[in-house]
Order: sequence, then C-alpha cells, then structure tokens
Amino acid sequence: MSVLDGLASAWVRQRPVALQAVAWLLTVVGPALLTLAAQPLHSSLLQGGFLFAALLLVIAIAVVGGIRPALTALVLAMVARVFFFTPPFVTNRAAIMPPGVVSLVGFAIAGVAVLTLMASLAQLAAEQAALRRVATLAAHSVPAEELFAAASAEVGQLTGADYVRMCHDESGELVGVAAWSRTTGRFPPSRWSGVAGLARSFFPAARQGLMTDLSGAHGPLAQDARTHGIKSAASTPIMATGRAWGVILAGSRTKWAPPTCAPRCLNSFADLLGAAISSAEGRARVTRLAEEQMALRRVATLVARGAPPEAVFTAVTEETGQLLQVEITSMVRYEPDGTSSIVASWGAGAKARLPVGDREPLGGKNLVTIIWETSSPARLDHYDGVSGARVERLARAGFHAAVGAPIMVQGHLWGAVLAASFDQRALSQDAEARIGSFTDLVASAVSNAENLAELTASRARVLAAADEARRQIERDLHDGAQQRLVSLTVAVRTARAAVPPKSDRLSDELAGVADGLASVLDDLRELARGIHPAVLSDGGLGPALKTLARRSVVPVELDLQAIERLPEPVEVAAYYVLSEALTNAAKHSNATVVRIGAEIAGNTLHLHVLDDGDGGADPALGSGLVGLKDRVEALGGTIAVSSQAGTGTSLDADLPLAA
Amino acid sequence: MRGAGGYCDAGGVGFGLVVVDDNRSFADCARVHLERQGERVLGLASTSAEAVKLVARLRPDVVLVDMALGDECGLDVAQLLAQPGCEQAPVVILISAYSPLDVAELIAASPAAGFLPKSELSSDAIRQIVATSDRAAAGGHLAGKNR
Repeated sequence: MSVLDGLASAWVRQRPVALQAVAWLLTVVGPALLTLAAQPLHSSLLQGGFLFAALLLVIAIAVVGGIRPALTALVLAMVARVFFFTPPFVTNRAAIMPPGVVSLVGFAIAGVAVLTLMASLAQLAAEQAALRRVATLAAHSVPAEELFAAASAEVGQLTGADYVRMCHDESGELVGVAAWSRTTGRFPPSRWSGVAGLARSFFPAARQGLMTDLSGAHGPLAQDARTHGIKSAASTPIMATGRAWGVILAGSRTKWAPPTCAPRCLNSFADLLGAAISSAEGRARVTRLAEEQMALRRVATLVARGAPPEAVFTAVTEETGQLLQVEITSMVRYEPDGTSSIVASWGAGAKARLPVGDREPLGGKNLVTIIWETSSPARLDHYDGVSGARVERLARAGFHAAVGAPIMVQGHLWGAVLAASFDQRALSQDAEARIGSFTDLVASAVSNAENLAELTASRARVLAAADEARRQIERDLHDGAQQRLVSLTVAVRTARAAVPPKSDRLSDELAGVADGLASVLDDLRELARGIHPAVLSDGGLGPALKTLARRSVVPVELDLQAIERLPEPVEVAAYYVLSEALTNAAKHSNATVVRIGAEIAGNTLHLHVLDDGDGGADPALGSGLVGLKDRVEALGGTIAVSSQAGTGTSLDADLPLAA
Repeated sequence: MRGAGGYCDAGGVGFGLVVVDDNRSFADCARVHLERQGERVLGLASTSAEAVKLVARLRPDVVLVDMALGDECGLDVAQLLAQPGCEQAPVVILISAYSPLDVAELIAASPAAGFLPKSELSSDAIRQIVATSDRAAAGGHLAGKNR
C-alpha cells in the first residue's frame, strides 16, 4: 500500500486535465478495442498476444495519465481476458480459452512491476529536477527567504504534503523562514520565542521525526500545524556548519503516514539547504573578515599618518559601531581623579549617544567600572540592576546589553571601547575580540601622541635651557667684563684729566688707551648681542624688533599690533625667526624693503615677513630655517616659507602663546 | 616742578648728582671722574629704594640711573624718580654699559631726560642733556605738557 501511496503522490500530481482525460478514455476504450480486435481471430496465439498488447496499453496509459488510469486499465484488461474469451461471448469452441491462472498472475505482476519501476524513476527524476532548481537558485545567491520558499514549495509538491514549514534556530528561538500550504501556496512565516512542544521534539535532536498524530502535540508549531488541518507530519533537521541550523517539517491532512518518499525527499532538501547555508555563512564570514580588515586598515592608516588621537578615537568608535552593528559605541578614558571621561562616541542617530567630555565617577555596576577593575574585556548580557548615570540613561533609552574591551597603553589601563545594543543577540560571541583588535590601534595612537608630546616638550625644555644659558652668559658678560671695561675706560679718562698740563704725550697715550678700551667694549657688546639680545629680556618683543629693524641692512617697515610682554620662549622664538628672516633678506634677496607684521589673535602670535626681492629661495636649503622650524615646532607652532621667483619671499609663523 | 632756570643759578658751582648703580666700582669711578670735572656727587645708591630715599633727602639736580640694576630695572627707577608732581623732580639720565643703539627703544619709552653710555660719562655730556631737557621742559610748559 505504501508503494502505491508513493506512486500516487509522486505521479498523479501536475498532469494536465486533457492528458488525464485522454488516459481515462484509453483506459475504458483500450481494453474493449483490444477484445474486439482479438475475438474474431480465434487464434490462441493471438489471444495469448492479447495480454501482451494489454500490457503495452497499460504502459502507454501510465505514461500519458499516470498510475490510476494505468492500474484501472490493467484490471479491465484482466476482466476482459477472463470474461470475453469464454462462453457465452465465445461460441466457437476452438476459440474458448480457459482462464490460465499462471498467465493472468504473470500479467498482473508484470504490469505492477513495470508501473512501479516507472513510478520510482519518475519520482527520482522529479526529485532531481526539483533539487536542481533549488540548487540553481542557491548557486545564484538569491535572497535566503526566496531560496527557502522555493525549497518549501518543491518539498510540498514532491511529497504530496499539504503543509511545509522551514524554521531556523536562532540561539534558542525558533524563527519561521518559509511556509507553504497546498491550498494557499506560500504564506508568511512566523517567529516563535523559545523551543517547546512540537518544536522541541525536533530540536536540538539532529534526527528525523515522523509523527502520525499531531492532536496531542503542543507548542506554537503544533498549534500552527493544527490550524492548517495537519494531522501527521514528518520532519528532518537542516545541518549547517556542523550544527542543527533548523528544521523542515512536512505535514499531511490525512491521519495516515505521509508518503514514504517524504523522508528521502526531506533529507535531500535538508542536505542541499544545509550546504547552501554553510556556504552562504562561510561567504558571510569571509565578507565580515574582509570588512573588519578594511576597517582596521583605515584606522591603522590614520594612526600611521600621525593623525590627532581625537580623530583616531572617533574613527574607532564609528568603525566598531558599524562592524558590530550596534546602535551606539563610545570610548572612555580613565582619568587620574577616579572618573572616566568620554573621548569619542558614535551612534547612528541615537539620542542616547554620550557627549564627548562627559565625566562620571567610577563605581557601581556598569561596564566602564568592570573593565577598570579587571583590565579585561567584559560584557553585560542584560541591564538588570545596573547603576551609574550613563548606564541608567542607556537603560531608559531601551538599551539591553553592552560589551567592551580595555585600551592598554604600554601595559597600563588607559581607557576602554564600549558598544551597547538594544538587542542582546546582536552582540556576537566574538564582539570583545573584534573590539580588541581596534583597541590595540588606539593604544598605538595614544602612545605615539604621548611620545610626540613628550618629545616636543623635551625639545622645548632643551631650547629653553639653552636660551636661559645664553641669557645668563650675556648677563654675566654685561655685569662682569663689560662693566669692568666701562669702569676702566672712565678711570682712564679721569686719569687723563688729571694729567698735568704740558704732558701732552701722556695725555694722548691715555686717550689711546681709552679708545682702545672703548673699541674692545664695542666688540664685546657685539658678541653679547649675538649670544642674546639684552633688549629682549629687558623690553620684550616690541623694543627688540624695533632694535632689530633699526640695525637691519635692508630697510624695514614694522607693523606691530599692541604686543605686550609674552612668554619668554615665544619672545625668543619670534625674535630669532624675524632676525633670521632679515639676515636672509639682506644676504640673498636684493630686496629694497622688508615688511614685518606681528599681531596677536586669540592665543596665537602671528608673524608675517614679506620682502620685495628676487624670491626663488629654496625653503629646504636654509639651515637657519631648519633651526627656526625646530624652535617654532617645539612650541607647538608652525612656520611656512613661500618663495616664488620674481615675487619675493614671504614667511608666516604662528606661535601659540600657551602650550 | 623744577624751575626752568634752577641750574643757571648754580653758576660756577657744579650740579648736585646722585648715581644709582649696583656696580660699586663703576659708581666710584664715576664719582671721582665727575667730581674732578667740577660736579658735586651727593650720594651713591644701589637699589631703587635707596635711590628714592636719597633723592628725597639730598634733592639732587641730576640723577644718573643704571639701566641694569641687578634684579631691578633702571627704567622703573627712572619712572619713579621722574614722577610728575614730585617737588623739584631731578633730571633723570639713564646710563648703561650697553650701546645706545641696543637700548634706544627702551629709552624712548622711558620718562628719562636722556641716555649716556657709561663709557662716555662726562660733565659736559650731562650738562648737554640737562640743557636739552630744560628747553623741552620750557616747551612743555607752554604746551601744557607736564613731564
């Protein structure tokens, strides 16, 4: 019986009405015509041939109309053979053929065997064709729901089921991915929380199930099946990447077992879908890895370029947010005063996004504090019982879960990167590790910036110390040698005044000594000025620049905008910048005038020098300029020289007044 | 204000001078040098406080102030001594071991009557500056300028 069920289910379906009509006509008319044709001949040979012709007829009917007309024709042919070749239909004795039991049984067996063979071949062919269609869809990477819907429909058609459902196990939750019914075709699948009742009997067991009576089964899946009038069902798990990914369920409205081909059919499709899912997941994993690598490379490039740490922080929160597909991310820094401050935050339009600069004391149950206590990655699977202003705000905004990883700079905990989501399931198992690959880059950026800041500070200290030493040398020269020379000069002049009259020679000699002393004094002043301009320490930048301008070989137009006393390193740097610019203009430019502008805007001293000389100076060549650049950059300033042939040379320097 | 003709009365008698310099050896040299040239050096001061006290007590005609007074700035001292309203304010002359070219900007900004490089110190130079200052003061009176 099950064989015939299988035949019926597989073979009856999808035959055009016209073909079926033709088959049934042949079924009725065929044996009759055969009988009519064979009777007049009265040849035992031909009558034996009748059964053979009937067999051919049955095969022909099976091909055209399927199993039912073919079986009917088989029975009709046997009836015809038994009744129409015996009296009263046959009067000619010679033509009477007693029903040979052997030949009739042989005929029946041959007919059924041929039909069975044909049916299973047809079933196999149909199954292969259906699998091929689904495989083609999978190969073309159609959207998953499309693939599942097509597979469900094929399973339904192939097994003769009335109801097919495909469900996916999403971390314990059963989610319908496709649904099909014989009466309505495709219908939207549904999502059920928890695996219970009927679903549990299929889960997580990687086993095939056959349930002949669904009336006792409970759970949403069973209920859904019952509302569709399903009384018995067969199921098989879909295995993908080594685990039970989901289940296919085929149900029937009859209480009898579903067609026996169903298990094989379900298995074939489960295998095919499992392979397709595995491959799609593999592809997705590769894509995800590639995206992660690209994001890491973008951030690494920023770090390598020496971008400001703030830019790196912002990039990291954005990239991690997009990679983890969470709603908001943030980066905190642990401050020495026992607080954490937000240094960057990202949120795709999230209102709960934390403002940069926000500070909160450590403590309470929140991720920032947990990471601070453990220096390890951590996650909160739920926000129950959390405490702290930020996390409570997030909880109110509907966030449920968070994950974070520490930023370790040179072995010390510096900060953390955190991601929060509305949905706990959105935080993948490896989220910590994925954040971790970014925190290493943050650590590099912070470490680089700190090293750079230290280097700059140390450069500034070295320069300041050198400047101070020069100032001291100049002061010592002034207070010591210069003063003594001055005193000596005056003493000599005094002595000369005391020379008695008529001692002209002595007087002249003393005058010579005084002049010599004055000349030594001049040399010494020149030397001292080169070491450090006294007017700079005594009078500040304004007088010093005026002095510089007055001593310049090239005429100088000076435009000083209300410059008061500035921090000494700034005064010294500005003085040397302008002094070097004037020296260069005098030496190389053939300029007739140099314009110097100095003004304070905000917290910066702007210096501008422009000459009307030949231009064409190579800014890279001047060793003096390199020294100036070092000096200016040590203060966190910038200097730029532009010198186009024919347009003169211009220099612009910005010096921050406070580091 | 010091009368414009105050020093003309002095006739053959030299100016009363106070030298403000923390470099004692130079101050001594200067004293000898100027006294030989006929001026009266009334006192020597080495700090601004001393200078103010001395000037108030001795009422000199001219005060010579070193621009580099150790940790103090001679320019500030000059400012203090040349205060307008100060009874018979003396003529303040800045002196320095620096070249005048190096300190011109500082002098220009100070109320001092003039500047003398220390090596050029002489009675004549002082008198020349005082004369110029008196003319300026006289002009200043006419112009209503009070400095």
